[in-house]
Amino acid sequence: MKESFLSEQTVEINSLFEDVFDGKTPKRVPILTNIDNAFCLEYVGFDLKKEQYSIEKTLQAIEKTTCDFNGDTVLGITLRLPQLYSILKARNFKMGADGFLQHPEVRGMEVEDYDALIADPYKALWDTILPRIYEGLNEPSFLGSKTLAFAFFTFISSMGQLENGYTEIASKYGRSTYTMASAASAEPLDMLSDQLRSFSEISKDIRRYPDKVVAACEALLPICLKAGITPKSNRYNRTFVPLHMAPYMREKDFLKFYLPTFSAYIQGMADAGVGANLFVEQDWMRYLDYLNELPKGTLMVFEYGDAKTIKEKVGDRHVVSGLYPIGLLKSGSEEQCIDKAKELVDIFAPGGGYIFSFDKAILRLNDVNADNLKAVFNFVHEYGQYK
Amino acid sequence: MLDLKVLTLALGDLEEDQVMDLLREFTATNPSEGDALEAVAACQGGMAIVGELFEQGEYFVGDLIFAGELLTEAIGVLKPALGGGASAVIGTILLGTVHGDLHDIGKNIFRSMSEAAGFEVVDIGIDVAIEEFVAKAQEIKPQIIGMSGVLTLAIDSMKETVDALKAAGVDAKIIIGGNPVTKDACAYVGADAFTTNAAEGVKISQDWI
Amino acid sequence: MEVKSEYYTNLVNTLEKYDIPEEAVLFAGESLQTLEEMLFGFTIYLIS
Repeated sequence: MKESFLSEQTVEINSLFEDVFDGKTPKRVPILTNIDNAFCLEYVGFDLKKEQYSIEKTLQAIEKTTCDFNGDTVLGITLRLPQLYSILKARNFKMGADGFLQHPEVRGMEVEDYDALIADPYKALWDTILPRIYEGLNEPSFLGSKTLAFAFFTFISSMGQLENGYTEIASKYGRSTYTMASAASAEPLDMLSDQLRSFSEISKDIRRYPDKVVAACEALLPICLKAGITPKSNRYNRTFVPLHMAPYMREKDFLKFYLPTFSAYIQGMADAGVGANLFVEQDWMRYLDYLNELPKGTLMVFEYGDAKTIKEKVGDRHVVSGLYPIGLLKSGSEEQCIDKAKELVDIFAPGGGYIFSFDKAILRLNDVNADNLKAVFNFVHEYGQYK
Repeated sequence: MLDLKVLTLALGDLEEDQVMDLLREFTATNPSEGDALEAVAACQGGMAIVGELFEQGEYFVGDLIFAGELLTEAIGVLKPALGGGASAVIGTILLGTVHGDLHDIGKNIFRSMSEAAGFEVVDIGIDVAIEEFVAKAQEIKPQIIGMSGVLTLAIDSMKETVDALKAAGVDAKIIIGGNPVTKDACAYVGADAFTTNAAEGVKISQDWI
Repeated sequence: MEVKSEYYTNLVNTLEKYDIPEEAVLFAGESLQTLEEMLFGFTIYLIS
């Protein structure tokens, strides 16, 4: 992105990411983090139960956090809008006593809904699935329409406000305008598993109704592709794809139910010129060879695994990332934290194709020691220079 | 005549149709309560195989979930034949997700696997208040208390709950499980054991009895 | 990208559906089809 309104520093940081995704060695290892806006709200002393409802306050918190921490991007991803879930009377995102939104296992779809989903997924979502997840959509007559109107407006206006705010913050503090998720969509089996059939039910379905699961994934593929390829998507404005089910499956099941539509999804995006940012959740070491076959230049943020093996097996073809344990940021000394960052940079950085990132999203202030986080960012800035 | 070994293996292989066919044929012969109890034991033996295959990396969490479902289904078919008799309970576990945390997949897997191993499990749900844990522990006097959690904040909730249990004089063994638990967290919480692996959790529990 | 669904209307059908005259295609495409696309994005958010 080289729009004239961006500050010089922003353009320079952007170029670090652009180089990596262009397969060139950047000037320095860029840093891409997944930090929840709840972290920022708590960092500035706001109360999740109150200020979280305000986009303006959220942006204030994100601005202060971005200013105080030397990350390369705007810190604080606002994924969840509590007001939206309140309006919709959501079952899938509920607030704990402290105001933090959690995601209990929900099931919006029953076994008997498979045929309708396979025939027309978008219609099945609105006819049966979403009303099960969002009780507010079931309100009679005008009230149901009003709920939907409120929710849709809240979503569009909030996301628009946030996007503008992020760009402003990026330019003001010389941070990159790129993020982990320019767009986001799960791959087909994960989409089917998460809120439609649920983790527990899909584990039964793949044994009881294997053909329907396969057909449902194929039916969802165009939906995933449409969500993953937006007008502004490209090789730098990338689509976030959190991976979920594969590590919990046998390889035999993975090959039948997961891999075909997963690789078709990533390939379909690549064919449209859109890069994928995979969050490789849990342990994928037994699947590294399959990951390596994905379209060149896919970003893979690993939660678990051996850094050397990862670099060796997928690091030539893809951009590797992740593995830095946020648990260490909470309990380790500053020296230990920096040693760990050095260890990962030493393994991952040679030859380029590396973006520094953590193993998990940082959700709450209490998840880490903020001083350690600052120290690690500063260290990567200095130590991650390519000669 | 029901071949118990075949039943055990079929369950271990997670062959649902075969398991259910065997059991339906079996119950159609109006088996005695003793025979039905043997069939339950054979199913539990199958679950032990599932646990072993999980540890060996042959099965994964999705398979454990299905195994739990299969066992529940199997016991459901056998229930009428069991009459009032129940299979021997080797111990009681009080189980719940600690306060502030609403997640329950891991807890449910642990529940079905420990039930399969012969434990009686009293599952008090998610986001369980400290007082509820204490009151229930005093009421049912379990040998083991299992606490589950996915969020990092669950560690603090676990500690608070363990402190309250100890203050109330509850002397059950305590095991914590879930994504954020580690050896350090276990020491901090004051639990007797920790695991991120349901099958291992069941083993630890068995060793305590 | 388009999806085939009874509930999704592509640009050509949108113009037909609202009886938009040819000279207004560019403008109506922007104002009407954008809503269709936004609603699709919202739908995905709701299951994410």
